[in-house]
Amino acid sequence: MNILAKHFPALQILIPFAGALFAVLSFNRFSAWLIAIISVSLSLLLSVYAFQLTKMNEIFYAFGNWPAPIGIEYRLDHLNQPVIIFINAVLLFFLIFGKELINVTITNYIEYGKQHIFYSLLLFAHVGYLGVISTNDLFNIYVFIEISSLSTYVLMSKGRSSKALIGAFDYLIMGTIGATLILIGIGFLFAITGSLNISDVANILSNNDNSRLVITAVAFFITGVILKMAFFPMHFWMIRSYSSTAPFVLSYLAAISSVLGVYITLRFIHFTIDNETIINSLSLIFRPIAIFTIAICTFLALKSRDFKKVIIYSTASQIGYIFLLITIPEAKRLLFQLLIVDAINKIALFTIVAHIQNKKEDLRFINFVYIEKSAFFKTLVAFSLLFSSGMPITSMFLIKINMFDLLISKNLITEFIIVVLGSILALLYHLRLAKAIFFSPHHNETVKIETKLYGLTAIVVIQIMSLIYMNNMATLAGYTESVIVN
Amino acid sequence: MQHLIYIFAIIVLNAGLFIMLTSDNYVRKIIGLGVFQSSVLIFYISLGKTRDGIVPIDICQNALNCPHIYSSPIPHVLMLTAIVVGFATLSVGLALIYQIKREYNTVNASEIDQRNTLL
Repeated sequence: MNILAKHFPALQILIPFAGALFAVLSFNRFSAWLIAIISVSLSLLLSVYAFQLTKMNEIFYAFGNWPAPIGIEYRLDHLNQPVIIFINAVLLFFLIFGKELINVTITNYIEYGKQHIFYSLLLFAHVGYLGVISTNDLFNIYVFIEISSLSTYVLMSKGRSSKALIGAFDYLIMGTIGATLILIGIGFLFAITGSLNISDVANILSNNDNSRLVITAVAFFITGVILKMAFFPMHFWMIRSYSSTAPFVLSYLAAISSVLGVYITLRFIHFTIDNETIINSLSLIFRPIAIFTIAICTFLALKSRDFKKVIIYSTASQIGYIFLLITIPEAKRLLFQLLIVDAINKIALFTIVAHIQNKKEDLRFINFVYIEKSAFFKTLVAFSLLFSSGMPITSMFLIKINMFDLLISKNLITEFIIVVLGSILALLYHLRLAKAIFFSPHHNETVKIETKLYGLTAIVVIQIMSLIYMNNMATLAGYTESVIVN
Repeated sequence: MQHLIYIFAIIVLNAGLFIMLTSDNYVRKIIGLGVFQSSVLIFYISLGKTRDGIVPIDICQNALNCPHIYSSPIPHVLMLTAIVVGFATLSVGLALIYQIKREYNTVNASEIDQRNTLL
């Protein structure tokens, strides 16, 4: 236990990594799944245990005993340890409850004998995410981003239709451009400070005022992050690749990617740069883009003729809300609540899509399937649509109300109007989704949902619980907020 | 004159971006991606070079008042990793192109788009 306690920052990443390697060697779909479950749950246990340790103080872990400015260092505190727990929990949920859906919608379309690779790729992507979150080294961030994206490209390329390949290729091009821009940004910071350690860079930057180069570095880095996160002007590739890939993979990726993007942005802006003027001017740039994202993506969601595309556009518009909250310093607590609730909603919506698309590929509204019987499925869908639409007395509703309140108190009237309009229009497009599922005409193709509904049931229960534990979420967010302020 | 190398890096970067965004052929896009990533290698390695700097091998055996000036080895090490990452991206991209070729029997973006809208 002593060794565990000492080396947990490395172990919670290395266990899934070892799991990924073993999964390649397992040559069997079931054993790969089992290995994935074991390694992720071990990592989850370890991260929960580590959360207790980070409560007392930040933990710095030097790799290979090379102390900080020279070697690579991991840093665990209240900002990233909850994120690690969250990501582990999401993957564990995905693996346990989604086993059947993974088999039916994804691995059945992979050649026999190569199906176990799916789990290994999933674990590699997971390792990448965990690494980005725990590291305190700028170049290491880039390497882990690439590890996770390389596996994500392959994950997205598998699915029922061959369009998924084209989507994955688009994602590869845009994702690599984004990552390279991030690398150039890091290069400028390295040129100024001669160091890659985030704390060290922040220290040196606070002492010298070389603001033009710093602005260049920030510009490159933020452009890269925006590209990778599919924030408004760059959202086109996300629409394309998400709409063609297997929807169940998205319930994992969409939930993780926005959390990760926000984390990288916060880590970079608040820990590395930490310059009042730059942060203020960044919020001036971000705010209009966020408003455009909300307005345009909501509009496109209303206009779109495809069930899945509505959900994808709604994902894109949520990124707008998230970025709007990033620009407001007082909104950190709300931001974390929104991130968690939004991730849960996205998992639920994409799981629903996966259930339906498993029966019929074409999800356009004009010939949307008529779902026969399956009353339980419809009940679950009703609940999760209710929760993600932000109707009164749901967690999304509470967040939206708090957001209105905050925007009014900060005197951001334009933002307020757009957010209110966006929320009302969100209700409308959720209505369209509900109409497609419940009131599809009888003469359309009839299907019955036969896949087991454990996953959907669990996620709906979590959605309902998120309402009850709203306050606890706020407490957790309070911890993380205290890290940023200090 | 000392900034010439950075201008060169910018030219390579833009050339790669241009190839990637304007070409219709997936293989060309991947080539553009390779060119684009190479610009970063030039940028980083030029950061590490100092005037009269030699290869960073410790000639003076850690002695004080060493007359030699070394180039910084860190960018080289970093770029070694970046080359590996670039190579991995290239292979994944080519594997995807191979699959696309098998499915559609073409690697031309506009042809595939046309066929997808017809479906």
